[in-house]
Amino acid sequence: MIADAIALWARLAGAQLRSQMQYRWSFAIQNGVLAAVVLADLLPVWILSRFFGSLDGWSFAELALLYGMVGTSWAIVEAALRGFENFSVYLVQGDLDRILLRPRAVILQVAAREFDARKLGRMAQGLLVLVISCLVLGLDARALAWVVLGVAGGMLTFAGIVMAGAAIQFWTLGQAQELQNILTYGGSSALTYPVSIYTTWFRRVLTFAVPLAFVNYFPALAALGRTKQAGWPEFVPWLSPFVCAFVLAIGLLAFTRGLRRYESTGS
Amino acid sequence: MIEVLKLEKTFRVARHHRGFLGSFRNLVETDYDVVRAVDGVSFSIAAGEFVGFIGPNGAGKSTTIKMLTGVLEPSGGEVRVGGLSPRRDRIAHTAQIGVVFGQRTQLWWDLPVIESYTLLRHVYKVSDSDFRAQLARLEALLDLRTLLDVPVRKLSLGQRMRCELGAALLHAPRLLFLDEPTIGLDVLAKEAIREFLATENRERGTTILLTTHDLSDIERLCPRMILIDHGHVVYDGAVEAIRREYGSERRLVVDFESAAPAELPDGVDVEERGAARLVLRFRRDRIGPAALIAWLGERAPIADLSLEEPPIERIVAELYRRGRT
Repeated sequence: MIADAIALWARLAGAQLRSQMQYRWSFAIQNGVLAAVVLADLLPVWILSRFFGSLDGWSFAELALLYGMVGTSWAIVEAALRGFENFSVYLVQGDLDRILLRPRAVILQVAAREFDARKLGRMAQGLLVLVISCLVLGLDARALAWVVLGVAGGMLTFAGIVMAGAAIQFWTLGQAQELQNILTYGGSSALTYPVSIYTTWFRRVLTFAVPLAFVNYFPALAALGRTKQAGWPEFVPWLSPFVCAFVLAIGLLAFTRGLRRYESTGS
Repeated sequence: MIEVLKLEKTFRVARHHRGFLGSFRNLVETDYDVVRAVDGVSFSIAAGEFVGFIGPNGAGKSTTIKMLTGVLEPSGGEVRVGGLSPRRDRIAHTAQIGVVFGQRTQLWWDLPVIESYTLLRHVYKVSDSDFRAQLARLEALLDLRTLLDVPVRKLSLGQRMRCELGAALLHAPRLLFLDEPTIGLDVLAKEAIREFLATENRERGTTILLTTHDLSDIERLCPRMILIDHGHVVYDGAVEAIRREYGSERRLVVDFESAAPAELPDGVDVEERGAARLVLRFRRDRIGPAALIAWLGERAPIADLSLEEPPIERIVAELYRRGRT
């Protein structure tokens, strides 16, 4: 059944991809622009680490590892679940009704609805940065396992956040898109730097409220064998998968709740 | 096929305070008005029926359709479609119905029609052989052959609507919901759609519920119509009967060979009077047309005449008006 769902997702996403290819030039230009965006993301990190030698004890290669982990997981989620990011539009314009009229899971249909090929470029770039930083840092198998765990956890967490963000639209009727963007785009760019550089309250938010620190900071600490050194008990990185799964569960629950509300109120 | 019993849907609508200060009040207090969009609607539709579902804007038509199709949960009452509860059994229910919204497309805008069809085949899990058979049938009936490879955005409205119907029927649903399928179409395109719907209903026995503002669709296609207003069923019965019941007014145009008679029997209104011509309105239940014509013929020789039934639009407009008072 899961294989069936994934096959359908791939078909719907493929249709989206072919739609975009119809406009070849804009497709090419957007992908070009994107490459520049990623460079622009990493440039300040490079300048800062050049200037200070390191950031809070993190070398440029280690910072790139953080960036690669969060960049890859966020890009995968953005590509796979893009529809949740534009969900307010479906609510307002009635696309959700059409989704409800089809005999397939709503979450699956929403996820594939706006597959964006440009995110594939973004994914490739995140992955490239990740691989290079792993090579430069000479990570062993154990450390690489932590990196993979971090990326997987990041996917769950961001998936949970975009779903929760979409769920909020059911109550605000599409007026709170920005809130979702703060959490996703804001969150992923905040994670470009180690969580430890931030001021106390913000660090607490990222650790306990919106636990993005578990996406890359703790797994990276474990990968680099620096958990203790950073002042955390050794077990904290092990919490990562559970925390990330928990965020996904909340997102799923919130979305299902919202959907039930929509079906009983309409618009 | 469809059983609806005392169906209700109430919405809570936030009351808005006007003006600049009002917009701040909107933030803190939320008062709600309760709107009864559908208020105790009951009807049942048997398999194979072709029913027109009409009513003025805001009457509760779309809300009812949304409850029948499983998009909305009723606030009260019962809905059963093909033995299923549209909401609770959403997946099984939507697999057995087809839905066309005239104002909105379900096709992928930038892709050739056939690609949308292939996607829908997978969405509805139609087997390859069933799909091919059904596609061949629809292709012939809707004259789709030249359209399948064209991107949807390049189709004319009439062509697109034919493709929409094809898309809604690919999984061979037993029940078809149509919302304004002929809106904005020219006479020929309309006729093609109507022809197809009549065939689909006759040959495959597909139950069809048609919502439209174009009453000529109803006259042409539906033996039965359900008229809804203010959330209530105002009329449910044969389209022919509505004429008998409410359409007793007749219009008679008479050309005389000499001057038209000056006086007329009771209950006959003059709409227009010329030297040798009279346009009259009368109620058939008060004076029979034959009697009136005979009466006129005794007073002046008749050269020509025509007797008109009121158009269905007028009868329905009259029914809407009654509902409001």
